[in-house]
Amino acid sequence: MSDQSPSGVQKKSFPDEALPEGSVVEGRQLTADVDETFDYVVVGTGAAGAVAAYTLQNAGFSVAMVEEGAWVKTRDFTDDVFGSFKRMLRDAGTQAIEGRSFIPLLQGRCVGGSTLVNSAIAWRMPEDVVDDWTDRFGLGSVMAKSEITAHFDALEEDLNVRSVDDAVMGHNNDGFLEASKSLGIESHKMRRYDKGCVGSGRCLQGCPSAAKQGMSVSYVPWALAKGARIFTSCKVVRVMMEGPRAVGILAQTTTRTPHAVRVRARLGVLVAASAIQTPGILRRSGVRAKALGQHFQAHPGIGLGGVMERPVTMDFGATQGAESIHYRKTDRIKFETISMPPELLAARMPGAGAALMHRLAEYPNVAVWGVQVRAEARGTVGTGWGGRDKVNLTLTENDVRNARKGLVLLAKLMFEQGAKEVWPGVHGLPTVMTSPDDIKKIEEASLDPRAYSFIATHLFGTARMGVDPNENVVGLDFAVHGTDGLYVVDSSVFPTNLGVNPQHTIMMLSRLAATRIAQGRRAQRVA
Amino acid sequence: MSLMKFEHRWVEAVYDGMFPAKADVRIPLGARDADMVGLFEDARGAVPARVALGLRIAVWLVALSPLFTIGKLVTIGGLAGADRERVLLALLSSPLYFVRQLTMLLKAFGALFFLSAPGVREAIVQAPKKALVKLGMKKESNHERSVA
Repeated sequence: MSDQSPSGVQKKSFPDEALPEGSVVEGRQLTADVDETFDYVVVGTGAAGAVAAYTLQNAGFSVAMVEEGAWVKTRDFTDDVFGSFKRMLRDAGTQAIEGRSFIPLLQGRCVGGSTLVNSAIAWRMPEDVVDDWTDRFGLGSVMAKSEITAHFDALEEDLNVRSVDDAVMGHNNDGFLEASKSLGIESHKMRRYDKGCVGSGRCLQGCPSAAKQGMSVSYVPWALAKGARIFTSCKVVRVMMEGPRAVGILAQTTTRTPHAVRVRARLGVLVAASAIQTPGILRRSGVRAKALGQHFQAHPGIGLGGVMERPVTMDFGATQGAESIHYRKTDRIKFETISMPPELLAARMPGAGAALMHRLAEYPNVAVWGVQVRAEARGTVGTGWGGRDKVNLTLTENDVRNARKGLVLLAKLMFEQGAKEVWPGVHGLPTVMTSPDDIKKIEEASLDPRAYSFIATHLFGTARMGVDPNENVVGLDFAVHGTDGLYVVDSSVFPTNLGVNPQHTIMMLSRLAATRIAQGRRAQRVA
Repeated sequence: MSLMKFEHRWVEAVYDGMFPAKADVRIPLGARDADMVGLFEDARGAVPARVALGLRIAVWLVALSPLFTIGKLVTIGGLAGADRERVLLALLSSPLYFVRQLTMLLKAFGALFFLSAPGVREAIVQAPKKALVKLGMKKESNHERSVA
């Protein structure tokens, strides 16, 4: 029977529907305070939290997940960009890193976290990073390669990691592969968490077919099916401590008149609220480690747009489907395609008025490719005005130089692919370039980060892992130094950034952490 | 706090300059055809207070800038379309970082509002969608069928 929605997507049941009765406690609907007890409490339901919760529940423990955002269901996704941002992104997508320049910072704030609004790119942790963490940071006992491999294998089986299907590549992605091949730059199709992508080009607004295996359609419902519970729209105020021991969390509903939500933990609390929010939660819980909120790192990125001779139709195909790490080791940069909806692209189009409208009308022929920098810069995450998280980072001259080289190469690729015009988006340069001869102007562009329009999505290091409590926050067992049963399992623990998309490594480490925590507890029980 | 009426008129004028109607035959609609003020107020209510304040400052900055950008002692509302465009272009390429950033903030939000207006997005992306349906690369929606 054909039963179609107005979008043409056949009606079917999604994994975020028909959840076990009573498994979801929506904070905005509570009429009284809550006080419940579980074995473990997991704070956050993004890549790290969802995987940890599922792993522990699957190991036979009772688990509660606590999520600040609401559960935005697949059936409620729309292609309205700002509406999606309001519902799914922290501060409606207006967060920014402050430093010498402002860098917009996008973070999911909903069940599934940023996995709802990213492109589901799966990269195993690069070996050079494993070696670096082992050699420089003493994480050898965490980084056993055979164990890492086993966790990646399991995740990839669960989430159906595979290369983008040819049928949904779309011209933005194919064009990048063609151009890079012509110029001898090694590139390939992305591997993604994908169970039947139809090429709607809407990864950034939430996948309307639930093909993208974000956490809200995978590990969160899977954990609920095994008996876990989730408290949504509940912002964690602090971890409740009894001496050094974590005994639960105190949260408040995100309503005008908040209710207190106490979720007690018999065995432990796992914080997985992201490299920005985790330090604040730990600070409010009495953790005073010197390294807390320090060593913040990111992968700032810039997009380069261009108008092609041939139609590109970015509204069809995988939002991100092609990439290159050809220059990752030499120049700390990675190239990615990114199909942007016109709502987001318009801000990056040159000009205003009639010129802008002409370019908007050219949207079907526009391609956008980006460069992501493995920035050397280290910043901080502290507490700002009104208790808000304050993120500070200034890119080094070397970071900007690497980004600039990336833009030069992307411009070459665009012209190689038949661009009529390219938009470098660098202050001080012509807003539109129409010939490959113009590229040398980018090579001479300023190294002032304020001349560039960076955006940041990958965040690391603010509760980093290491043996020495004076220089690190978390020990090799993922427990906060000097505490008992308080763990951090998100990218806060990463000693460095990766140079590739981090979701897969975040999930791997979270799975590894939860597995070891469960094994340790079982061993204690047996003893 | 909501903007005053004169500020609303500035918002309309700024976005009319940014997204003018009939500037391109392929997009007959302009900001005047969208409820830019309503969407602007809605957005100010959805973002943190300091971003809402930044948006308001940006409106004032653009509204009062014609004297400093094109040498005319009027607000943005007193300018014709071409002059509004000149003002906006001057601000977007200003040597002062905060001026560029605030104008870019307005442009970014304006794009979100304008493109969400009925008919605008369709004017931009519908033609290729139809081509893809024809090629069998995209399913035709009920809406598209009924329109056809």
